[in-house]
Amino acid sequence: MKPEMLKGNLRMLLLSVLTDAPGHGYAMIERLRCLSGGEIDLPEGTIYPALHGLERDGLVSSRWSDDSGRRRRVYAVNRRGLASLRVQRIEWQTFTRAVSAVIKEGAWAT
Amino acid sequence: MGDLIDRYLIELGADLHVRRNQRERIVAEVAGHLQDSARALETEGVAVPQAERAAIGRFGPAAELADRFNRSSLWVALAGIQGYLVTYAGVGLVTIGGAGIFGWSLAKVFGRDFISGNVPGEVIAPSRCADYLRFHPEAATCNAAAVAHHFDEFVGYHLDALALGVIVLGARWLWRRRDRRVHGRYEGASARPAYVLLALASFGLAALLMLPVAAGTLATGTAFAGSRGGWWLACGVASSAAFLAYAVAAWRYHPANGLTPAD
Repeated sequence: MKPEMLKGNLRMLLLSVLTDAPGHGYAMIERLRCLSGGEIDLPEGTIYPALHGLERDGLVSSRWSDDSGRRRRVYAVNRRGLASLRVQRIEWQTFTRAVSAVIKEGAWAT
Repeated sequence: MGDLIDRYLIELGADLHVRRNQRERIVAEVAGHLQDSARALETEGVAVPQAERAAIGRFGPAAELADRFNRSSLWVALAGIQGYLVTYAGVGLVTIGGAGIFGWSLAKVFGRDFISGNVPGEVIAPSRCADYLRFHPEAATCNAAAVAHHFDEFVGYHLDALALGVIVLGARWLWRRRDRRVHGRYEGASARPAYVLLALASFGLAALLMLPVAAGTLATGTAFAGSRGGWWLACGVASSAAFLAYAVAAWRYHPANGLTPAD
């Protein structure tokens, strides 16, 4: 999948992943890869500015965790984040429905 | 932690231009991520150096990650705004200097009186007369000495401003050349339109005010705020030139014209 197709949707993807359970960056990348069947495979560093932005906007919270002997920053979605995700999902579904309707195979297909 | 990851983290820390606690947090998060990624590869049988190299490869270049963080950094934006204000001050000083050069040229054609003639009806005290004649013994009269003195002041102060403006702009150019990665790439780009608007508004307003005053005082042979028409004309023309220069730059580098300013 081309990275530019993920532009603008990364925050929604991260919020979605966090609804399952809190997680640190590496775990979230692995979950994204796994849930998407390997289709979403972006440069792993790109999630950190997005995560910091989500926290700055008050949609997630984070704390340091020293589980398993390694220091990691664990993120969790909060109520505002869930509400924002609900809105983004509706927008995404509307968008994909509209695009699919336009590009569906039919008389225009070559 | 291996050497490769250590080097990556050092490079990342050097490229980040954010508050210190934010930089420390970002570097610590990235360190944890890279270690997790490398260890996962090692459990699959990949040798340590190759695992670190692969983990870094999948993570992405440090400079690109730092760039993303720096774009949203208030610190970088403030540094950029500060830079623009220094440039604005430098251009202002050079414009004042330009007015002095233009005024000197006008005086060559129309005489010094055109620039620094005495205000009609002004009476010069004898003590001031003595001072003027001491500065300009070649002058035939007290009035002529006063005009010469005021003209020298006009040109002198304006050329001082020009020299200072050149120093300010030169220092600014050297600073940006020295640290292009902060002051060039990230120079609070979002503040650029506001800077150009400020320059256009201030120089445009100055020209709009000064040129009519120049026209009025030249037509009536009077002075305004103690200055003759030639002075107002020189300053108004210099302000107009600065306004036009910014207008041309704004037009050329408007996104619709497909050009970007050379940083």
